Amino acid sequence: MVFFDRVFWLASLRCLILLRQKLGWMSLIVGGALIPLVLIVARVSFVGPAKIFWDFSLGISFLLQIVLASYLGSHVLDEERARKTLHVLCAGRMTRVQWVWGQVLGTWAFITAMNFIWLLVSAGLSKAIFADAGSWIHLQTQIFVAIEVAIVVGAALLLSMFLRSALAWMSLISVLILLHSVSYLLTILKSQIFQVSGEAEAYEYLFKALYFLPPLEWLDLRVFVGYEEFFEWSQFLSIGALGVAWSLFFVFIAQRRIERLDF
Amino acid sequence: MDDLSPVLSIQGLAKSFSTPVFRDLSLEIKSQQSVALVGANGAGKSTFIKIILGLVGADSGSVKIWGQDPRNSRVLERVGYLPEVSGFWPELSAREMLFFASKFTDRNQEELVERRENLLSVLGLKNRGARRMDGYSKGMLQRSGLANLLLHDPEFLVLDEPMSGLDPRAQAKLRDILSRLRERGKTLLISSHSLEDIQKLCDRVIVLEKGAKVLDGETSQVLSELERKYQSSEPWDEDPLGDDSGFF
Repeated sequence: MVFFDRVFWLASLRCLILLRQKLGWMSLIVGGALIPLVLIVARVSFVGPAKIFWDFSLGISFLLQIVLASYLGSHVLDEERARKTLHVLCAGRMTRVQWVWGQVLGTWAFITAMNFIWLLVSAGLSKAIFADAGSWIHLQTQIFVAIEVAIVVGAALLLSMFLRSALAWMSLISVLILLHSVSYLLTILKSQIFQVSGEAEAYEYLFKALYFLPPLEWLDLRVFVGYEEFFEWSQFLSIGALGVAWSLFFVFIAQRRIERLDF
Repeated sequence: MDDLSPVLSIQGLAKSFSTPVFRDLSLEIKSQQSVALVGANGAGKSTFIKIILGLVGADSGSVKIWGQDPRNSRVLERVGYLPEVSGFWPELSAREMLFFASKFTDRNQEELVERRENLLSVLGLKNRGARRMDGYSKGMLQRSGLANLLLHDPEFLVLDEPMSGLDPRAQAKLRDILSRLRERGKTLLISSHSLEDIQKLCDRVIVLEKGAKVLDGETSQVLSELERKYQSSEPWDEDPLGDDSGFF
């Protein structure tokens, strides 16, 4: 109980700090400012303005969240170390494991709260302007983004325990782009151009190996929005569980790693 | 528990980063002792403090606080640490920092609320403590750090150069607070360069030089030994500031 209590309060502290940091409230402002732009784009489109609205809205929300999650996750350790708050916390308030869980949970909660506020605002606007409040798949999409954010925050914190924070952030972004485009890359490799070169097979094995990394492509439902009303719940739950398992895996490795670090 | 039982016990401590910091260091601090940790810059004082708090791992040897690993949560509950540069979140006020600090202890929350208000009042943060800490002076930050340190009423207080950057009035106030904590039977470990502070606050002095314990004894005895060494111009090892003859 004490463990969860400490983790809960540290997560709350993290949320409050993020809300007061320039990066935190600026993201909210940027998000708020982009919504009218999305509306304009949707209004001037010739076909399916509601779909265009949702595509852009969820796309911007997704990008903002992933960039924020990777940045905040990879910078929290260095930031707390520089401020010496990590020292004060770990030398008399909590264990390092509690610190890891508190920071991951706090960062995730902050970004996910933004996620669902964005979803509510989008649904409200869509209902008011296009008479379409969205469907289950919009909610499913954002739940998957929340799971991806958990994976990204855990992975970013873990990477920052091995690399400098800026390097951890940039390398994570590269891996995220790669993991989101595995099947597209495989399609390109299977095309005639690459078949001629004879190297396609080797690359294909390489990219198939990426399937053993977090299934970020499966978590990206945005392509289905507007075409499907509903994503099979059993499939949804299975992919979600796999995503949560990956997130927990990264946090467990991070808590093992932090025990070996010198502050 | 015996009043003179060891709070801190170190046996054969060794630590190196790129170069060795400590080699085979052993010492004990007993309950209710007030110990000064003295040494030139780079002597290893801050690293020593971080090792005993479990923030930096030792390469070999053992470090125990009340006979247990310093990272043990039951040990952590009884230890307070004030870093040289106060650890604080600039986005919070002192009051908010203490609110969260109170949530990180097992003590009774009602008692902590009362203790928090008393600390804010005693340390002159009652009114200004509601402002965000990024607008605080060095003295106010140090007082906020001290409030944070004392909130859970730790038995073993570790202070890394607590007077650094404070004006004389703030130094006198802090010295007075630490003196009263000492009288109340707290165990203190203070890293300091100030002989005045050491004389007034500590009953034992440990001198570190290049990661080794070169002197350890009663305050008056160690200070006179230090004075004798400096006056006799007997070099400890080499002049750490270099030879400036003919330069100025």
